[in-house]
Amino acid sequence: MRWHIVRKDLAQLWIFAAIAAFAEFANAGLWFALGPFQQPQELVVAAQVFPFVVWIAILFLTVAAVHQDPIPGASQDWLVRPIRRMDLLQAKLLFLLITVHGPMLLADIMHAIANGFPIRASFEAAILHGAAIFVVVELPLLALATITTSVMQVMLTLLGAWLIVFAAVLTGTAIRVGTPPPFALSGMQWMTPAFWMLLIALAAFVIIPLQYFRRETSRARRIVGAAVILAPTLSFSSWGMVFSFQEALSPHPADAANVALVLSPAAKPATPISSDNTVRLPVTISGLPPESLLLIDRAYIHLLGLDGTGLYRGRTTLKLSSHHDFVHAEEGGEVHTIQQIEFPAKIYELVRTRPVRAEIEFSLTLFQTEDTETMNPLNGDKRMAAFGWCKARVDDDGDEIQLGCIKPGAAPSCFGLELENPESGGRNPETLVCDPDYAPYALPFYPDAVSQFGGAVRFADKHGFANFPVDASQLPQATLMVQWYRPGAHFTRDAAAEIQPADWVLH
Amino acid sequence: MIIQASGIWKTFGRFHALQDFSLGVPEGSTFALVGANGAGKTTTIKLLMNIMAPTKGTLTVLGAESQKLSPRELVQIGYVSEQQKMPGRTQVGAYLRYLRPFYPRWDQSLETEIVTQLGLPLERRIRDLSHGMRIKMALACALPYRPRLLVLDEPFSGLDPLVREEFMGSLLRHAGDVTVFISSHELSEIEDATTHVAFLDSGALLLQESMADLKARLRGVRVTLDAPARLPRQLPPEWLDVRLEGDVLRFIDTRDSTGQIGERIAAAIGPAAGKVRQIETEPVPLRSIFTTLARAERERKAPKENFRKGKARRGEA
Repeated sequence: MRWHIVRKDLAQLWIFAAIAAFAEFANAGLWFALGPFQQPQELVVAAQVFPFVVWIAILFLTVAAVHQDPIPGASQDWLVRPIRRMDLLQAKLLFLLITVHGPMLLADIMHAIANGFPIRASFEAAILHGAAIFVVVELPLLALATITTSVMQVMLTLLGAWLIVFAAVLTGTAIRVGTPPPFALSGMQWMTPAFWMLLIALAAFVIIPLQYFRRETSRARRIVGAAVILAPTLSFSSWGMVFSFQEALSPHPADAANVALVLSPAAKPATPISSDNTVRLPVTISGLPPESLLLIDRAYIHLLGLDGTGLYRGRTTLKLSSHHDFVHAEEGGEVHTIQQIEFPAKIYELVRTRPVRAEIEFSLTLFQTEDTETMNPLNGDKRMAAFGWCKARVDDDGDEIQLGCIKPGAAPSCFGLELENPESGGRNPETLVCDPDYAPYALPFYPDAVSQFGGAVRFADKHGFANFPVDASQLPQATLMVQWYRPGAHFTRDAAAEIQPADWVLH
Repeated sequence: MIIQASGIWKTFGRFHALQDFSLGVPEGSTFALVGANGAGKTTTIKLLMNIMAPTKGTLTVLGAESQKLSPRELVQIGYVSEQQKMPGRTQVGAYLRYLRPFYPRWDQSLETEIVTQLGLPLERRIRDLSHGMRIKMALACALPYRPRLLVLDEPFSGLDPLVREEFMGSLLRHAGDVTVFISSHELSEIEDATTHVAFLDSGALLLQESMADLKARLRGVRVTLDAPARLPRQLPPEWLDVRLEGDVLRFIDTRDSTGQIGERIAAAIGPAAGKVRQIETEPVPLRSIFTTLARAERERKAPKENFRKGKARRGEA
């Protein structure tokens, strides 16, 4: 009887299903039309908005399908019909598979194949995208629809849930005097949506059978309420707890076994800075594997008097924007770098001329090179296993090489671009395109199963302030190196030194 | 018994919609559940259709526990309710076509006959039907598979007399040997067809009896006395709705035994009321039975309520 119910729903909702399918194909078509460099510019805004149109269409279709035979209430005709509850649930799932996931799978596959990717890779990415949408979007919406009787109720519930979570996070931020949840801007930011997704998927897995087989709407609504209340809790976890969890997820923890970090106040820093309450301590890092990249996720300082009295505790950087501190491995595995410590003005005045002990707890992530590819920077066009289909060209300003890539599945979250002239051996500094993401999974969500990403590397300075080893004249001989970095190990190191802060401030 | 309820309680928060409710519906009967608005009739029906679960007690329908009603039982039950929500966007004909495969015994020619007789517009969407048409539609969805049990929840509510007549006509013509369980307060509509009746008041069952027994037991009595008289304060409890107008005493006797009625009346009113000149008895319509019983029950409860309120005012426990 499930097909019979599906046919009934299709007869009722075919217009909505057609709109949702159209939105899915239009989204794929739009992103295909944009190509690797996302042009024309006029289409970009529409393309960026379209995935949300698709999600809204999915929302309406899912809710409408469930509300054809609503669960709450005591007057629905289907309740007195000889319909097996399992058949009804399976019919709703089948309907969604046919109307949402069928067109989505087809649009995803066509999008990938149209970009020249093999059928197998296109199919795998499409299945992964569909599965992710099904578990994280579809099932929770279905669960929400089972406890409501109108689209308006669903929208209000979603809005209410969002407001509660937002208010809770804001309150927490206010309590922490303006500091947002500690890991919100780090590579561990995946944990918040992952926790939410886990929470809503779990709630959906409980609510759907509860509603279809027992019709316990009040209890189901309480579960939604509990999930909403639990959602912001992770944001208030301590950095240490969250980083320990991330550390336990390290794919290659042994890679960082030899990494050591020492504060070396003997070496004076060379670069002046403007802020007079920012201390710059030289740091020596050793034991880095070749071709690796080290990111200081957080440096937490504990400033003590020489008698052991605690004077200050806090992040070394007060500005949230200065959290991406990458260090490249050099020949021999030893790197000299600088650790900035920004003190609040009052603290700095207190300690600037007295000898203190600085103890810094570093939370670090070691990125290993996953893959390296080279291509022609001038109109390069290459298909690569790790990066998909990429094209390179000189930008309109004539000072950068632009790289645009299309890849079935999730995009790499961290890669470096470097211009090299193999004949002269010259190399321009690497440009990192890195928004660290330490998630143990890579799911394609946006815009569809095919990801688009890119970056740019500079070879000229129009103002003439900088000279590049590989400049415009060498581009015909140069190669563009694309290096994909993957987080391999998350670990902590402690370092300490006795300093007098004013000695380490440059004016 | 096709429906058997025993010790049923249904509670919504602190409100008891049904209290220790027990009932048996014989197969083949037309069983009327009668009660005022809010008495618990709809709740009873929702429990037996497994739309709601009882708080306490056991309820079986067609031999199955109501909470375990499966499609096997539901294919044998027809349900018509004034509150029934059918899919509004669907056309009448499309919905009938949708329902057919769920019922192995669905008779399409019977469906056509019912639809024609009730004048249902097959192309119209259900949401565009009038209230009366929707009730007819519900009946048209309940009869074509010849159910063993037909449950009707306030089917006449809001219907004009013509539609009521069409509804009842169609029901009586097509129901066949079906057991009908009907809740209503439109007593005149169901009186002729009803074989059994149960009175529900504030969630409690006042009585349950066959109509034949009830009509034989409850008689309207008109006693003409010699002269205007005063009645004693204490009258037999089986006399309800007692009214004395001059020399005429009227009441409903709930323990009719026509043979001894004269002696019972004489003994009850005593010599002070004078001699009984004439006694006439007549059957009581269902509406009067219901109103009399309901009024008596409220009067019976009222002293207790007043006593409780008085104690509360005096601050006693």
